[in-house]
Amino acid sequence: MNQVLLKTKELSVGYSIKSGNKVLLENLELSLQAGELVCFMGPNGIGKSTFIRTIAGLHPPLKGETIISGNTPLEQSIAVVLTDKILPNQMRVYDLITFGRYPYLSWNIKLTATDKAAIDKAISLTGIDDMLDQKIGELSDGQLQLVMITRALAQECPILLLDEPTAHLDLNNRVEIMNLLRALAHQSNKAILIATHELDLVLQTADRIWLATRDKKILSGIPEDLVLDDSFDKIFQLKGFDLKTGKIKHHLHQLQKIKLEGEGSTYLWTKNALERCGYEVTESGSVIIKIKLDPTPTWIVNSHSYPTIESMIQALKIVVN
Amino acid sequence: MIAGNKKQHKLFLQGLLILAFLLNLYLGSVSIPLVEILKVLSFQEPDNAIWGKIVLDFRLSKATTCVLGGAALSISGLQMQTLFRNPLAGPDVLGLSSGASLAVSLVLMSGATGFTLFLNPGPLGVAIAASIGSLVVMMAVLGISTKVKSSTSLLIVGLMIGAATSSIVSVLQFMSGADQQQAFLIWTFGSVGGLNWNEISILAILLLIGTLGAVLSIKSLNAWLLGDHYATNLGINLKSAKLRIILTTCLMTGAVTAFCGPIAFVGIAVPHITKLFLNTSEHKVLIPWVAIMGATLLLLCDIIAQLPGSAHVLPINAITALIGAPIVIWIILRGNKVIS
Repeated sequence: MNQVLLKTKELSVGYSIKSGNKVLLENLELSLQAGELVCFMGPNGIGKSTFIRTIAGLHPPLKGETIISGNTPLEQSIAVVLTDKILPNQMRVYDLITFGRYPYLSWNIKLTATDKAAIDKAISLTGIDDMLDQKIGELSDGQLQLVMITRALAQECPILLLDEPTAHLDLNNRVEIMNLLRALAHQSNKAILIATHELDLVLQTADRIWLATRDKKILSGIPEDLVLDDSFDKIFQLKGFDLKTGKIKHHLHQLQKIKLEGEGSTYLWTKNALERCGYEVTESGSVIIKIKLDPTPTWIVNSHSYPTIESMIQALKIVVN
Repeated sequence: MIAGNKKQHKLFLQGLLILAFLLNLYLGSVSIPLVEILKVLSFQEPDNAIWGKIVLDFRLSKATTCVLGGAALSISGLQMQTLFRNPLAGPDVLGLSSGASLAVSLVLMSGATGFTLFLNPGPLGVAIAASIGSLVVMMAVLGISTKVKSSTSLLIVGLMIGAATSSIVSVLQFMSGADQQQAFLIWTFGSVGGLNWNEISILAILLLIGTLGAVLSIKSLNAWLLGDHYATNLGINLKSAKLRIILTTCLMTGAVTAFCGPIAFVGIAVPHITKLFLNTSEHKVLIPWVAIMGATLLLLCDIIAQLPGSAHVLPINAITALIGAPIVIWIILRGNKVIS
């Protein structure tokens, strides 16, 4: 059993407004463990950002409390990456990262050798060496996100909370950041919580998922369990996406069934193409497609060879109709 | 390359300050050779004893007031712009100058309204009144700041206080006599001359306290560039930092406004010019250089004010507005690029 770093006790999250409290999530009993990457998911507007701010001590809870293990001050226990817009466009990337050391510095913000070592370590983890002299305003969204993560790492806190760190990024950057955070959790034994919408990425990287439900609760479980017990389908009300196969559902409108013979990724993508075009791929299919990989991938239908999947499907349409 | 450039810029700014200071001492209705001025400054007897008196009691006091006032207003402006995350924030925007104006108008024009606050308002009486005026506004703004969370709301509150006080000032002006109106009007023009060394030392002490407060706030000011949430996460106590920043700003603005009148645009313009020159958002660098830049700007404004001829001196507020207004327009045109 891993060490619990953060625990919520009867925590209720939301806003105080004039007509009473607007409760977003209530009576939460959750714990965050060292060495675990937890992804926090839920529909838009359910209170993910408010929850993150509340357990980070940046927003008052409506009820209950967040307990942090150990006696270190909050700013040395929890580092955050938020969606807040930051101002210093003219600031150098390196200078922004030094802000991560502020919890350890006195008023004259003089960096010691320890501070510099922590900054260098954070930089080497995210690999942003080549950006250090750039201005904040010159960075792309993905680069800025990496810089903000580096800044949070320089804070050297056992707990890391990130709100939508992969929003607005392309697939490559998203995967890079998720892999980085996962590696950090496992190698540096940090507890990392990410609020995110990236269902597909989360299912493949998260150690645990917290799922905010529409009745103001948070379900906790490993991805596979939550997929199989239909929690995701209920909460996200998925339309046309089959989570259990991880694919978009296709309406198989073609009458002909196809038997596909082949292997590896070529087989998978050929199947994908056929299903996308409405053909059912099954063992009892009447049309047989063979995939020959040597010397180059070739698709054989009715003893005709086709060099690409596209040409094969074109021919298929004529053959079967 | 960048570091070298910055060093050159800093040397240039230092040189400019010294040059402006000497030029400020040199210019005046009586022409005194520069060598003689340097003699007076190094405690030697000048060829003409009168020259020594003119330089020490008139010109040096005026130049010193420029240095102190410019530095105080500029540090105040820098703190306000960072605190409110708003490039157009300045000490005058908070309503402090308006509070001071109201107090001064009460003193200078109260005779006409039927009740007499001060029988014979001397310069010190005006100064004390202006300080109390800023203090009252400061307390009001502080009180409201605990109720409104957003800095933008606080700015609007400052503007509203300014509007309310200037309407009261208008009523007072309407009811008062010509002499009193003139005395008040001259005060609103702003003046860096006419302070005695006693007043200057008070100004210097208040500036010192204010600067000390600002220096102690360097960490908070820097962290504030990332917003309230990040600043809190970095261990900044927002409440006490906010209080310290507002208090030091009011102290410095109040003192300058009391002794020199409501000098506009210096507080808002200087931080932007400095950031543009030194290309940094780091307050550890900005605070000293904003002070130097502010001192230089007010010295230059005073020099320009003396240009038309030896007998007449233009109101300093006209000159600061002439330089400051285009800068404010430029800030608006550049948009977000110059926010910090």
